[in-house]
Amino acid sequence: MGRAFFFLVLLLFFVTTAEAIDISATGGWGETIDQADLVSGAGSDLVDTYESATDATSIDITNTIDKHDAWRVDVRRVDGGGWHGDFTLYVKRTSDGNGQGNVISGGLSYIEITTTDSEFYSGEGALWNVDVQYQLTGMSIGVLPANYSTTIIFTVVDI
Amino acid sequence: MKTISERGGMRKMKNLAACLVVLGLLFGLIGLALAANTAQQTVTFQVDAIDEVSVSGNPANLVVNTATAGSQPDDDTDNSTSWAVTTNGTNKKMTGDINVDMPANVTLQVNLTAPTGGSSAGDVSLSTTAADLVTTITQVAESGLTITYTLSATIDAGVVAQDTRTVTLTLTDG
Repeated sequence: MGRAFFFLVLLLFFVTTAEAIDISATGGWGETIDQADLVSGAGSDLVDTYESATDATSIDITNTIDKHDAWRVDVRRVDGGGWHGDFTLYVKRTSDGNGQGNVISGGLSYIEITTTDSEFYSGEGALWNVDVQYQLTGMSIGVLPANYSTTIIFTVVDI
Repeated sequence: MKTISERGGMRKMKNLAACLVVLGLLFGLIGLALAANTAQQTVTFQVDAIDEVSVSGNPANLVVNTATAGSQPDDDTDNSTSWAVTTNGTNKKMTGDINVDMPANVTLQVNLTAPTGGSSAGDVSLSTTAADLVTTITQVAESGLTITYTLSATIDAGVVAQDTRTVTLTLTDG
């Protein structure tokens, strides 16, 4: 009886630790809006839409069991009180990255980043250097001068 | 039939098993937490103060050279120019001034059409001291707003040679 418990615990230990897929992200996006962003000088509004570099953020998925270990990346944002209600933020994947299985799908078109998790893309095995690009819409002279920031949360889910 | 020492051994084994189960659950929870690992990035937008004003060009020459008998000379008016404004600020105002005061008994007035939400002061005489022309300008982007200049002179001005003035329009805090 005791021996059975012991092996069960050991099995649980190895299984749970082996499932611990990791995600890391480097980069970010910052933009300064000034009079140079007016559509056509005095009398015109600000340009509505802004895009980051295509490699604004690079995402790595590591610590998978093997190249067939499937996962999904979800994305959401946490405003923390410093975001403007007129803004809409989007994200898309601009590269396939490289890694064990080279299996990746989804995320090639902009999806809105809301305050709840949305499925971004999925894949299998460890995968490095998946580049993503951001887009912001809703800028106008109706936005008061200030700093506005939000935190983007990428979550890897073992599936 | 188990002996007392056998019962003690079984109890120890059960206690050990219970501890290992708790440990296993702990690792399990940690494992589950790591299985939904997260990474963060920050997106920041800095919006600077934007206060841009422009005018469409210079008005035509203003000339006072007619009068009705028994009255002061007729005013001359020009409304061929316009102004444009973009601001993301609140409660701004437009002021106007000229580089040199007008000769005695000669008056140059300006009237700016206000953008949406703004309030025009109407006809305002210009001098080297800035005067409010439009107030309560808030977060607006409009163009084609008419500027009307009016030159007037009384007979006491006499004959005044042609001259020019530079009108400066300034968007400032209200």
